[in-house]
Amino acid sequence: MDKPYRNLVREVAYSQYAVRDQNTILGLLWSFLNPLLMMAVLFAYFRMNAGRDVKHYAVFLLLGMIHYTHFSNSTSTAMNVLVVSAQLTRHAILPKEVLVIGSVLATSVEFVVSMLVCVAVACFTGISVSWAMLGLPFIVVLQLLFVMWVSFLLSSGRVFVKDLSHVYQVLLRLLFFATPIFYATQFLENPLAQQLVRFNPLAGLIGLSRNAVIDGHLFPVNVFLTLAVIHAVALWVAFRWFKRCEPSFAEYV
Amino acid sequence: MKNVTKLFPSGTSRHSLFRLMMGNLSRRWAPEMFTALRSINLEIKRSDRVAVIGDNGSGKSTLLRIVAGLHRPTSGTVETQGAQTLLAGLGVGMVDELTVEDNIYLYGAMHSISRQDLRERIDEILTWAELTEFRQAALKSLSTGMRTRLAFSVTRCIITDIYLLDEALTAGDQGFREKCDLVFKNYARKGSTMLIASHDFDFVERHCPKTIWLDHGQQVNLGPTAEVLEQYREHWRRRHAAIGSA
Repeated sequence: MDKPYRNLVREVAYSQYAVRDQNTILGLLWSFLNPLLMMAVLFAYFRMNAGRDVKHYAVFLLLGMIHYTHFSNSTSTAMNVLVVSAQLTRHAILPKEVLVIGSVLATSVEFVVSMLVCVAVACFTGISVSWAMLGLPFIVVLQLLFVMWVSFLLSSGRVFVKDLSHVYQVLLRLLFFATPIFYATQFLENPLAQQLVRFNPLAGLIGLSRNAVIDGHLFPVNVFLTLAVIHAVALWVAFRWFKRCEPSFAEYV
Repeated sequence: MKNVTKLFPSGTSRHSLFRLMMGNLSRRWAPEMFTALRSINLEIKRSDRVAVIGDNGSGKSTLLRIVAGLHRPTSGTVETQGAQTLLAGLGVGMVDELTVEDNIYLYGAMHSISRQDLRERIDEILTWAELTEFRQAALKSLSTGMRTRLAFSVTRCIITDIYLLDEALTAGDQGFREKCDLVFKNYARKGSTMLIASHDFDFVERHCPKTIWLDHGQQVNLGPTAEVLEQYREHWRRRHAAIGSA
């Protein structure tokens, strides 16, 4: 990306980050409070059944919620960014991916902060600090790649199909239950359900984070590289698709 | 620009998309289209300053957007050389909730002005816009005129080869317009190429030696500004007379 556009990505990300929750009393604290409060509700409800045999269930739940909330918020916001910023989409000579990337980066600041707070919570609840936690930045990179390619597909699709935002909200709810956020994969007895979880990219990333924070196991390098290649290829395909659609955005938005 | 025609699907975009997809299967489902531009031929040389005039809906904005690369022509070819900036309404992309200073950096970045350049010129930008004391004020607290001054003050820093202006200076008082005139004269001195869509004939006469007149997407005339404007005014006189007699 050219230097002027790197500058623009930074400004767009900053502007979107700065205005979010600006008028609320707790401001940006909400970005962490949201998954934390949701975690508290789920903890109270599932502690005695789905989470009965899960060690450090609160941190287990919190990591799942942080990954899911970031994925859900980032992709939902990025999906609408070309439509919400219709004036820019129609009138500005700039590569439109700048708006999508800026939007994802703006929502990812809170993801990074939440992960740090989660590590602090983990230590506070008796989980010992391990070297494996140093692998978290790599997991954050994988999550960003994942969110980015999904955002490119959604944002370009949203310009042409207005119903997508409604359909996506339903899909996100489905994803919440199809991802081991409040339950461990072993809790699923149906082999087909276990296979579905196995091929769920979000479940894979959550699993890596839990291994690193709760179990103190760093992921093998080959696992990281395989996931990085898969998401990088998906990002390349999604980006090519986005650029192919780009000349029509100004007409349809 | 050679033989450029631009068709847009009529109706809502969702409806149109469906019909565009179905149109590939059967002509019966092909969407209804309207012609925004029809067979436009236009050659603008480096340092030319050309005005685009015509009634509302005549295709002025579409012409500028096609030159800017925001729309693909349905047929014909467009070639441009050099960097270009489209100013379609001053302040597009600024964020109400951000401060004036933050908006200067954001708006500048949208026009490829580096943060470093803006940082060095920010006092001068604010002074030109007469907004020095509003540096940390939220943009939403500014009046429309103040916003226009701020946006134009930033655009003065743009260094580009081709300026595309689409009714960019409709707001602002007499003093602001006079300041803008000086900026445009400066652009002309530097040899910038400009394509300006406008209803402001005084502005067009002052800054554009050549004018193209569009009517319902068709090129009626392209020539010296005085001649084309006279022809356009005569066209309106005749139309008014026809309406009066009816």
